[in-house]
Amino acid sequence: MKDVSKRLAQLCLSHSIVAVLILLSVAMALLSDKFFTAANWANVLNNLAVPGIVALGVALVVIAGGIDLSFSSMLAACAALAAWLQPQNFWLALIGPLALGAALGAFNGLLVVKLGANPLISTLGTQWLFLAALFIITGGGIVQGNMEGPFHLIANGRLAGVPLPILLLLLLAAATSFLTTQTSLGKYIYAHGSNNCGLRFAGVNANAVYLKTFVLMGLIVGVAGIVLSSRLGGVRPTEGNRYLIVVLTAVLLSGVSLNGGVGSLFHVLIATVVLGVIDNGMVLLAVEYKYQQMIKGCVFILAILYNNYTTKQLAMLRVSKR
Amino acid sequence: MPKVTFQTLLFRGRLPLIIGALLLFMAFNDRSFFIPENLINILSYSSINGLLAVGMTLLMISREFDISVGSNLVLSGVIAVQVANHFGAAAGIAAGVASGAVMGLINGILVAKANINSFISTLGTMVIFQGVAFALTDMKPVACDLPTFQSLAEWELLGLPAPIIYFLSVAIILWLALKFTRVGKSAYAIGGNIQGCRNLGINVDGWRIGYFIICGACASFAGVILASRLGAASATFGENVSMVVIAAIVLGGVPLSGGAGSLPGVIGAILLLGLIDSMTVYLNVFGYYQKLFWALLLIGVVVFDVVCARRENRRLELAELLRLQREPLRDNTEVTS
Amino acid sequence: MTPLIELRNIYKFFGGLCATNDVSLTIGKGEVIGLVGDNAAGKSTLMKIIAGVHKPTSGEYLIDGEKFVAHSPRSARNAGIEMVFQIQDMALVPELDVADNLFLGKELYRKTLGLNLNLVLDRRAMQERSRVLLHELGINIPAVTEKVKYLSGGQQQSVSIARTVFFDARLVILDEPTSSISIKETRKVLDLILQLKAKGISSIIVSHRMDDIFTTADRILVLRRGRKIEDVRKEHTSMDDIIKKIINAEKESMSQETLNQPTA
Repeated sequence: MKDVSKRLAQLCLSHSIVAVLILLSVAMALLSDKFFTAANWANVLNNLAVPGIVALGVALVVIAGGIDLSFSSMLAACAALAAWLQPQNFWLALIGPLALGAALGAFNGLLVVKLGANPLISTLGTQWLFLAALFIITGGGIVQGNMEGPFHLIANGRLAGVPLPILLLLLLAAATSFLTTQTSLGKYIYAHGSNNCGLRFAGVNANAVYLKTFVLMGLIVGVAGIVLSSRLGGVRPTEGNRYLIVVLTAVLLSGVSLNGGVGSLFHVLIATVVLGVIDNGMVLLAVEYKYQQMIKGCVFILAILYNNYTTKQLAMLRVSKR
Repeated sequence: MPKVTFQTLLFRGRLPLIIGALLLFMAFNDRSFFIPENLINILSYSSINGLLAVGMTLLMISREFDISVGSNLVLSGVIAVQVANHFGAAAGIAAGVASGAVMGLINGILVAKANINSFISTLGTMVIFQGVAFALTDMKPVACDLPTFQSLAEWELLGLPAPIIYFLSVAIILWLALKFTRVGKSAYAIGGNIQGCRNLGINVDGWRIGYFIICGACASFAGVILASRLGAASATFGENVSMVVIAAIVLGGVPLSGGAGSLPGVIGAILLLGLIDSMTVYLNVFGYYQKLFWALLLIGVVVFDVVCARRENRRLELAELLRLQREPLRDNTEVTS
Repeated sequence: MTPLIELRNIYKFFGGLCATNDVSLTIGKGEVIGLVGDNAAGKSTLMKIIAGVHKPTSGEYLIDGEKFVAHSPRSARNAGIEMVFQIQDMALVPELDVADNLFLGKELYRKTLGLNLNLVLDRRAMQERSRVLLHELGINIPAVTEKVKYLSGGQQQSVSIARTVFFDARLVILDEPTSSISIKETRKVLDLILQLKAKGISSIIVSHRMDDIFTTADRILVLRRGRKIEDVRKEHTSMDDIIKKIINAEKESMSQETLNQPTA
């Protein structure tokens, strides 16, 4: 009996972000009857698609023990490339951004892995580098695609009534979850973040694992760039900047530790949804826009405090067992 | 005695070298760059970023950051303007600087007492401070045309405008504190080995909160000066400032892992930043080349830093091995002689 | 019977510094060697030569009587030589569970769509085999699904040693295996070494604790400033003797040694 209650406590503590989502949703449902409608949820999730996809990629890098701040510029670059290629060829507009994302990710990866530069500062540098390059190449103006054809459908089409970006987000979340929990690469990513010497000692090429993580993140950002481009039609070079805080917030809120080796991609998805629900809630409750930022910040700090608390409780529960 | 190689010399002197090279380049391109007005202008422009940077240097030496300085700058400016409009200029200035100290205190408590990583906690407070500024101003710029408020940043001394004087005096005070007092020693010690400091009974949390307060107060002082110079404050400004400042501090020689670095280096990096900004105006190049240059410089220095550190480590390892092998020999001679 | 490992006249120079000086030794199958010596005696250099980290400057290294050139730790490991580090500079991954650590780098995979794609990890099989192995070795751990960071020092060390069995080790090199472990757990770790011996696995134990050496080792080697000055079966010596060899030996050959010491 005691064992069951302990198990239950462990389950709740290790999925605290899910509890946050449930509590928030219940509160919202009580406060607004518009909240639990299919249209509203489709709206919430649809807005989340781009930052949600990017957050999955960034979370992978953070779990591997690094960080990548250049995703905002990478996103804008991939979206701009998609917008530019889209009138020429549909398939090119799909492959191009993915290739660009992978290349930029590999660039970051080489800096961090091969040259051993600190990931925080060097990706801050590449954030500016990519953005500056994008500005210089585009001349600072909007890269205009056209708003028709199959490319337009990526962000605006529906499959069985569900908007395509939502399906893409869920698909990528499932794929990355599968990667991290069921494959050896995923296991190595966690091992690299936790103790890369141990991974190296076990005979695994740890540098290759780390580099692959950066490239993988680039690919995922490439997908987000395609969705963004398809939604906007025209892309400004600064388009990615507004996702910077949201994505970092989602990743850190989900319990992914900056020390590496800890976190779950499923929780990253949930954390993104939590942020979306907060945004949506403030709209539904007609909170004045000028107060929204303040509330978001406070919720973020509270959630981090709560997360730290549950992690500590969980560790205590575990250690007392041995 | 570590051997000073040409490479380490090149690395230590990188900022003067780069600044010298840029000045030389300008000397061939546009002599009018060197008129005193422009040089003073560069200094004056740099003093806002400079105040932020010298304030955060202590914090980064003790191995923390503050990403919220940009929002702090904005919010304290807003508070100073609004209080000045109601209660007079002096009250406004005081309230502005005090609010920054409080923001620093909040950051410090979140990091030192609630044990949140400073990258995460100040990311959160950055959003909050900007949100408060939004709420206070209704997202519109607020103006203050009290002459006394504006006079804070308008006087001159020996031809140097007030912001430069403020910046230099704060920099000198902090430099002295860092070099000669317990304030600086504790920062280096905490950045070097925090657990060791705890074991020695140093009030680690107290010091760290103090560094956050210093950082916050400097940022808000910069915010008040900026508001006074513009005669207005706006909540929609200063998002990227903190990253530029952190990058400048790293360029100035404070490693992200803390425990080392000096203020003159940071000031050099800030001057370099101002110089690059001004050059792009003079050379009439597209503004984003300046960011490109800055990014390449940052990446270059970080990579070079790592390469040097690796060499140094290999040298130290071999030296340690030599020392260990020599040691028993020395002991032995003592015994037999 | 050919010994498992034989070193003949191994020299290793670092610049002008002689770290191992004409060392020869043999290690038989299932033999436990205690390697002792003061700091800078060349213990770690010798270990690293055997583990393939360093290449000897001159001398021969034979495995099963055949000449072996250890290019890298990996090639030594392929020959069945495993190293177990002290738990402080841990070779385990704290955030992974015990089974994941035991199989790190040697994962088992499930068949995907009836094919061996080596894609999907077979966690259940790995956990089952871990359980069996740990039970066999008498290692007591709450669960193989427990993260390593929640284990005690002795448990972590036991897992590190158990892992060498998974890697089909023939020789295990243990560097201070009992440092920073509680006294109660020390006993268990030493028992584990004897169990490896029973399985026919040789080991080299480097330790400052004479008790550890004398409970486990068959033969004891003493190194001093790069030279092997003693190679004796445990029965033919005593703890005092060995300690004297480590410390006193210096005075006897002092004058000669100073002449040999390079001055670079």
